[in-house]
Amino acid sequence: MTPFGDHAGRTGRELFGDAARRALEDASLPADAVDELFFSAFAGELSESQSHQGPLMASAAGVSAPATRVEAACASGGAAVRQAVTAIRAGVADVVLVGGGEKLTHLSTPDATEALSLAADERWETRIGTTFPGAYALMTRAYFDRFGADRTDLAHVAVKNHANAVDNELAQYRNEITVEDVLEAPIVSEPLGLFDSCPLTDGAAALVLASDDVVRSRNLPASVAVAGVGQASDRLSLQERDSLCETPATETAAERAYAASGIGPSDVDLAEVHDCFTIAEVLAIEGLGFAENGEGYGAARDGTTTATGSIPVNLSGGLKAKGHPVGATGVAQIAELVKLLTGGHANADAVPDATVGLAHNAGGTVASAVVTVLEVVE
Amino acid sequence: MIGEVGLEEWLDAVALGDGYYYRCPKGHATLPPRDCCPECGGGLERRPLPSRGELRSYTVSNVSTPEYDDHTPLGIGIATFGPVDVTGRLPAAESGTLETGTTVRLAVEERPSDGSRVPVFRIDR
Repeated sequence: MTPFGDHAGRTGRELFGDAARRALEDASLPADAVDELFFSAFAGELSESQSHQGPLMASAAGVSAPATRVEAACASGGAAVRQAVTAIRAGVADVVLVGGGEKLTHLSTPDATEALSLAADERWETRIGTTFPGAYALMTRAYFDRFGADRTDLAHVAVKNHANAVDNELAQYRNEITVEDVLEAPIVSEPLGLFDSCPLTDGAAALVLASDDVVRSRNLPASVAVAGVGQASDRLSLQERDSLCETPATETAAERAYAASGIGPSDVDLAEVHDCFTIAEVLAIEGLGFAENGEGYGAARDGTTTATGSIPVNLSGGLKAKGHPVGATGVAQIAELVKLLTGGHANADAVPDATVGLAHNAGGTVASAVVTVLEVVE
Repeated sequence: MIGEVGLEEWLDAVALGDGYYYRCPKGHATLPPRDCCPECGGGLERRPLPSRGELRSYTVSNVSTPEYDDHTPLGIGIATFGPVDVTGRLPAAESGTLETGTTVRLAVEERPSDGSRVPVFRIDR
C-alpha cells in the first residue's frame, strides 16, 4: 500500500507503481514472474480522464502480462481479488498481481460527489438528486425507524475506527474523535453527518497471489492463504430492494465465501468491512453473521467490535479513518489483514492469536459485495 | 424496446395521472420500465400505478452533484405505490413535517440545470 491521503501532484499510475513494487518485493518475486494483472479502479474517467488502465498500470509496475481493469464501483478491489483467485484456481495463472488505485482529492466536493454517484442508477436515482450520502441516509432512516437505533450508536463506529487509525502510519486520519465531535459535525444528508462519512482519498494498494505450486517450488514467504471468496449482486437502485436496512448481497457473498472456505462467522477472529458510512459497518456486520439483524448497531458502543472486543472490526481504521481510494479499498483491506494476521501491523498486538480474517468490500448501496476469508497457513 | 423513449413515456403518463408499473405472468411487479422481468425474465405488461403512495424513507441533503448545487438543501425520498417503489424529490422546506408513512402523490418536474424531467412527490395534506 501507499500511504492513504492527499497525494497532490502525483498520478494514479505513479501510486500504483509504488504499491506494486512493494508487493512484489514483499513476495520475493521479480516482475517477470507475473502471469496476469487485474487492476481495480472506479472513477478514472472523471478523475484523471483515463480509462483502459490495465496496460497503463502494467507498465507502471514493470510487468509484461495480460492486464485488465476490473470495475464494480467501490467493490472494484474485492472483485479484482476474486478474479485473481479464479484465474489461479482455473490454472490459467500461477502468479497474479492484483491492485487498485484512485485519485480523488483534487476534485471539488460536487465533482467528487458526481464521480461517485455514477455507481447509482443514473435515470432513477442520480438524475433525481440521489447521491451516496443521500442513499445511505435513506437506509439509515429506515434502519432507525425499524430497530430504534440512533445517531449516538452510529457515532461509536466512527470513534472506534478513528481510534484504530491512530497508530496506522498509512492511514489518512490518525486523530481520535469523540462521540460529541460526530454528533456536532455538520449534517451531510440527515441523519448522517460529516463524521459518519468516509473521506475522499488518494492511494493505491497491491497484492501478489500465487498458486500452491509456485509457493512451494519457489519457497515463497506466504503464510496467509485465501481460504474462500464469494461475490454477489443486488438490484442497482434502492427503490427495487425489498428492505432498505438489510444487504442481501453481503449475506450471499458471505455464504459463498464461508462455504468455499469451510469457515463460519464464529471462526472469524477479525474483519475489515466496508464502512463508507457508519451505517454501512452496521449493515455489514449483520450481513456477515457477526450480529443478528437489527442488533449490529450496538456492537461498537458495547465494545464487541473495538480493538479489545471479541471480534475487532476495522483495526486498520477502516474506510472512515484509513481512507477510501475507491479502487484500492478492497485490495488494501486484504493487505492490512495479512499484516494483522502475521504480526506486521501497528495494531497486530490486539489480535495476537488470530488465524482467520475476513474482508468485506461493497459497491454502491451494496449492489455488489465481495467477501474474502483469509487463513494463516503456517 | 424501452430505452429513453420508455422513460419519457412513463413520465408523460405520470404527469397526466396515468402512471403505471409492470407485471410479469408470474406476478412479479417491477419498475423502472424494462423489456423483461428482472426476477424471472418473463414478459411484462402495464398495470395502473396507485395514485397515492407512502413514504418509505427520506433525507434532506446539503451536498449534491453539480446539477443541483444551487438547489441544496435537497429533499429525496423513496415511496411505495402499491407493489412498487419510486424515488422522487421532496420539498426540503417541508422536511420537518415528514415522517415515514406520510402519504405522497407522484408528479413530474423539470430538473433546473438541464430541463430533464424527474419524478417528484407532493405531500398530501
